[in-house]
Amino acid sequence: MSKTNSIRNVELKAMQATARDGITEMFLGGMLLVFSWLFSLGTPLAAFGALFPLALNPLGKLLKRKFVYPRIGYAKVSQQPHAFRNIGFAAVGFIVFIMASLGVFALILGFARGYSLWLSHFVPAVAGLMMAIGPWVVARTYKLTRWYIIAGLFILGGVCLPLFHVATGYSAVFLESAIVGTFSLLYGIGLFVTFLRKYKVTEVAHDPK
Amino acid sequence: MTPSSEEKERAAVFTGIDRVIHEPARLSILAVLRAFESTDFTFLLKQTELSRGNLSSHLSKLEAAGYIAITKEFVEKVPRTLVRLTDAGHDAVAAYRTEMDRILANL
Repeated sequence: MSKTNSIRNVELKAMQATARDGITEMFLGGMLLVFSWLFSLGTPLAAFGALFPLALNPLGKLLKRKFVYPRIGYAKVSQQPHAFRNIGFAAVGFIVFIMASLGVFALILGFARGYSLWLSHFVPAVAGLMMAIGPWVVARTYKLTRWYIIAGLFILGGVCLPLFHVATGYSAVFLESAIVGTFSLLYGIGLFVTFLRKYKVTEVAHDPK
Repeated sequence: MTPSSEEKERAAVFTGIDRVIHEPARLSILAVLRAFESTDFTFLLKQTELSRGNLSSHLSKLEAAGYIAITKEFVEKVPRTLVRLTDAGHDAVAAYRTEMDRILANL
């Protein structure tokens, strides 16, 4: 392996080390389950699901401080404005695309049938794609298979649930969130327990000089 | 015995290498730091698998070269050494990569 390859390898391993605790997976799972639960109560309430990560942010910091830093040390992840900007552009692009497609469907099939097909099959698929963007960016950045699986589950759920008549429209969005949320939460809990068992609290080390 | 022109030419290929970075332990420290805004001493210890004394000595050399900045703080009455790569450090690693790619391409 060349030196330049080994530099990338060390960087990647160090980045992956900060993702071993499973806290992000647990939070994503919790957020999706709350989102789907609110969705089942009434569609507008689902918007409050977006506030869930903000509410849990202090808890995440506390978990990191009490359980993660004493075991593997503290590392502040660099801000990646490009990645966030790309996600923003993709989200806006999808919203424009989904609204424009409603017009196309209505134009081809007439408003009633077009809207019905758009809502039952198109919305869940596009919602799945949109929700897959974040996990896909994480998977690519950290080269973590589990995040590729989460992104894949979002896409598959959005396409397959309406296609196989399991659920359509908003119910499909709710169901795919619940499925991926359960997977992510259980996976995160498993990772967290493994992390606690594998890495013991070490004596705090600091530069002796 | 004086070196032949071929030996001089071969040696000249490697003169552009930054010797502060070229040492494997320091290179591994810089590679870890490149991935983060800052890390503490414990994280570097775990990732590089160096001994405390060794890590401390390499950090001193990197700090003297201006490639890293070290700050000490107290978190809940516990001392914490924070290390971050400076802009000069980022530039030096990028230049080192370019130089190594050039050398390896010519081998």
